[in-house]
Amino acid sequence: MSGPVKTAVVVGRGTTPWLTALALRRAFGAGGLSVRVVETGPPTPGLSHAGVPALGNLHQLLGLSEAEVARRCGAVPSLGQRFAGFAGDGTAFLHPYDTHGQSIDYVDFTHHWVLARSRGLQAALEDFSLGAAAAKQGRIVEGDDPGRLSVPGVGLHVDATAYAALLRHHALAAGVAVEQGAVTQIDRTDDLIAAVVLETGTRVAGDLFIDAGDGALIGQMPGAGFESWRDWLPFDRVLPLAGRRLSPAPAFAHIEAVDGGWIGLYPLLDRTAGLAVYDSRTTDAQAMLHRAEAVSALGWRAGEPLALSPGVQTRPWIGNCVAVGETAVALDPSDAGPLYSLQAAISHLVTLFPVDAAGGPEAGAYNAAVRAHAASLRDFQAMHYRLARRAGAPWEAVRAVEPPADLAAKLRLFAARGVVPAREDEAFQAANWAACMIGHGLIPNAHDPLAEGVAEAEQIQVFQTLLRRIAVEVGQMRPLEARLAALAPRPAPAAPAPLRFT
Amino acid sequence: MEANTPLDIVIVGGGTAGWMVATALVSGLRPHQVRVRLVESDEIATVGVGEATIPAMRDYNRFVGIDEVEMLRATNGTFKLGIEFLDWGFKGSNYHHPFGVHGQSIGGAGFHHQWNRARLAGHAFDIEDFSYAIAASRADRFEFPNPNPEAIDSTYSYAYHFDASLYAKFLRKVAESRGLKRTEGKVVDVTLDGASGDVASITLASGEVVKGDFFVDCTGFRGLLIGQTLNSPFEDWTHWLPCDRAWAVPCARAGRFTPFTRSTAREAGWQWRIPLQHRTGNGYVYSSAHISDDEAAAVLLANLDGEALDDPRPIKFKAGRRTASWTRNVMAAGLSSGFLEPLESTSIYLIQIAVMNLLKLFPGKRVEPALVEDFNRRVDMEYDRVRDFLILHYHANTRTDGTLWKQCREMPIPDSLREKLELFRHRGHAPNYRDGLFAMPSWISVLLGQGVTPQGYDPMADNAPLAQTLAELERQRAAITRRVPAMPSHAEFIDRHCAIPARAAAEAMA
Repeated sequence: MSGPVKTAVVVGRGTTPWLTALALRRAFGAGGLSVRVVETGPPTPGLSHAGVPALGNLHQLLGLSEAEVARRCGAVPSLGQRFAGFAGDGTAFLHPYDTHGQSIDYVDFTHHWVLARSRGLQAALEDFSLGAAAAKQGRIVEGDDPGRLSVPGVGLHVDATAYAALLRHHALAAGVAVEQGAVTQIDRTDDLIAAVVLETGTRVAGDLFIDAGDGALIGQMPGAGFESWRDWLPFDRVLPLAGRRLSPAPAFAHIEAVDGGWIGLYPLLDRTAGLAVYDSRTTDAQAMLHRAEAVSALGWRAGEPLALSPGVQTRPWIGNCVAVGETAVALDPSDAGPLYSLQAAISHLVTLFPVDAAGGPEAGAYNAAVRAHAASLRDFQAMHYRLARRAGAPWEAVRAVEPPADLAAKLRLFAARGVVPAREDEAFQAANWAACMIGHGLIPNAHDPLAEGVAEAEQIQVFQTLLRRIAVEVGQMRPLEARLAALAPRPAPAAPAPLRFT
Repeated sequence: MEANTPLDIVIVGGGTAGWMVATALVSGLRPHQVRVRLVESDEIATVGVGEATIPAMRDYNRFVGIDEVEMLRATNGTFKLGIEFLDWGFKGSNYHHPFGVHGQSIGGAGFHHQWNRARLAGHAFDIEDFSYAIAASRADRFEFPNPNPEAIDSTYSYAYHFDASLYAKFLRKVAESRGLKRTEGKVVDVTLDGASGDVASITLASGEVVKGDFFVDCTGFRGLLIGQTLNSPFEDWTHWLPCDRAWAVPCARAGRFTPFTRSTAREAGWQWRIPLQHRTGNGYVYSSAHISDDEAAAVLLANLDGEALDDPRPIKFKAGRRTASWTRNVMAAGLSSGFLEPLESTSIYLIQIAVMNLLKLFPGKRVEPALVEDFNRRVDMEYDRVRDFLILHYHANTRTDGTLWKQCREMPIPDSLREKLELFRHRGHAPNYRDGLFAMPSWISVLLGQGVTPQGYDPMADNAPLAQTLAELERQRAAITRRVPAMPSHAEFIDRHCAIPARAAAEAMA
């Protein structure tokens, strides 16, 4: 079986297999790789995806234009995430996909803000972020204007079914083959899968098998294991919701902590997608539905609750079987984590695509890289729970658990000196961490002493200039609604109609 | 906010480390934040041979606000585009580790993958022909990189060779002009605070007691504060890097005036050659288990370009680092924090890392443990990564002379390096991490140079037709060949840009 990989078989349903298959075909198709998708079922209805700005880079590589994603699947751009209810005192903050202010004389703006705050400054950190200001005013960032204060990232919210259909359409056009049917048998010798057999009797053979589904492939490989992160990510149910469209549509996701869990609101073109994420030991779907209505009265309808078991495959790549997506890394749906993790796995798989079908050192490198990225996403998600100040279960319980060592060190150092000790493979940048930690009320006890290199009067002037500049630049941006109107949906004739609750 | 009185910092020891730390502290901080005092003894000599640096040093100079021309004039400095390695890997080998990339990516695949693909298809190109920095080095030419990123002569960076003791003197002037207080004196005692166990003060031979809130140990190998006083353990890496001694000697400038450092592997170690404006620095780094001191000195003296200008000076060391180079209220910088032989010119970089991280994690009167923890994490990572890169030079060899090379070839290496070697051998996958040394182009040049040849390449390379790859290889090589002859020679460039005045040169020779 030694030799190059000629056929990659991707098994799963929905977005995960199609994004993976399209990426592999685009990366290696010209060199002769054939990609076959085994579609084990239709996508789970009623879901939406949240994507961080990095998703746009992947779309570019895959040949998906922003306009196409907007028109074909009603995607709505997002400049960040608003967190409410976590402090329990009615306050909220915005985590923009952007930096804050400008570093002054080598010193990050956050330190200047901490120093200014100790001198009586009232403005919030997010007031100094172009992306946050634009988001709060319903504007949208378009184009790369190098004259801007910063480079706000643009993520997106998209209907999961329509997105999967768009990816499927492109994958098929790019020459990806498809078989439909559940896998009933796996033909494997030691750690090499030769073929999967479907319920239809069809045998799909290949050199590399990608588990982009429910873990049926990776789970039966010798040496497979699962490490649970339930201690730090305490929620075990995700209830998909659909509500009326918000008008005007916000340019951000809204995450609101409630009793028993949190409610997420994700603006789409035709509706508001919602998620109720909760702990089934302390509450239930019905109660969460009511809480969603209390958060925002959008006439929510609920789908079936999905089980969630956060954690990671100890070895997501074994032999010739590679897990990507939720099978490899199961995360909370917060922070656009799941799609981000899938993108990272695909990117590592492309970088380490095996040169020999019989195996090699790629698996070890992939496992280390995917796990490191996943752990950093987990820490980011766990940070919200750790810093939340809400009363009641499960909020109090999760605060009582010792955080993962890296996260604990991050929180300690940030509290002491406002420094984010970024590690290799970090999913979110220092600015994202700072926005959230400060947003949740963790204000550093001390600033970088170098910040004092700027005199107080000069600092005040710099701050005022920044605020004026942000106001002017946001004023020049188009309202999000104007952009959405310009990119009215044009469903592709070939794509199947998106599933809806109605 | 913390107490409003400035933090009293006492730097113990001058030398390159002491003065680099001092200058950065007084340049980055204001008088109401720190009072910096440096205590050094004229009795304790520093090792004043030529020293080579890496491009990161320019960040340090920029940070403290040093004028490049002024600095080069004051230190007899020259330019450096990389290191030439002779006889490393195998006898007769010759490769450069340039401060620059090899080629541009083709068809979405990294250049060295396309180069390897062509090689495996029977089209052998010398990968060094695709490095602008190497082409310039071979021709002994230098000029500043073109700021236009599209230009072929933008694809490299540069560093310096200089006299490190003159650099320390130069920094001393800068630091003193910015308010640093220097005290001459030998430390005879260290006093700990009875309650906290922190260092409270040092006592000088004059009887003066110098108190401080925070101490920086720049006392060299002995680590007066960090080791002798606070007992921070030293992690010994001799089993990976067995060289433990060196002879250093300057010689008259002769032969090529190279814009690069040369490192020649010898039976029991390696010899450096560092061209300065007025003379050439040389040294033989060796393993005392494999050659006697006398023999080593003889080998060095027999292999100089020109007349030796001094007696060779012996240096003893041990590879390794402190497990915690910041302990309590003491940070070690330079040799007191660890030692890695100068094979990749990292000594000054490691001092720079220490002081820049200290500034990033600057303590108050009471040292917050979170700062110490993160400082040591960062410094450890830097040391570990440089260590792996150095071990690679020794380990990947097929030399048949000398037991040192056999021993290094057969020794167990750190897992972190073993994994990198496996991936490169298997498919040319080179390390590509975000923090610390070395970047991917450096790994590629040294891995290939040491004779680690990849059996495969990134499958993405196959997306471009082979003919396209071959044509692009020819085009890239020609672009370099065309441009390099237009550069001034290294000597011309220095004459024009930063030559030391003739009288100073004569004095420096004397």
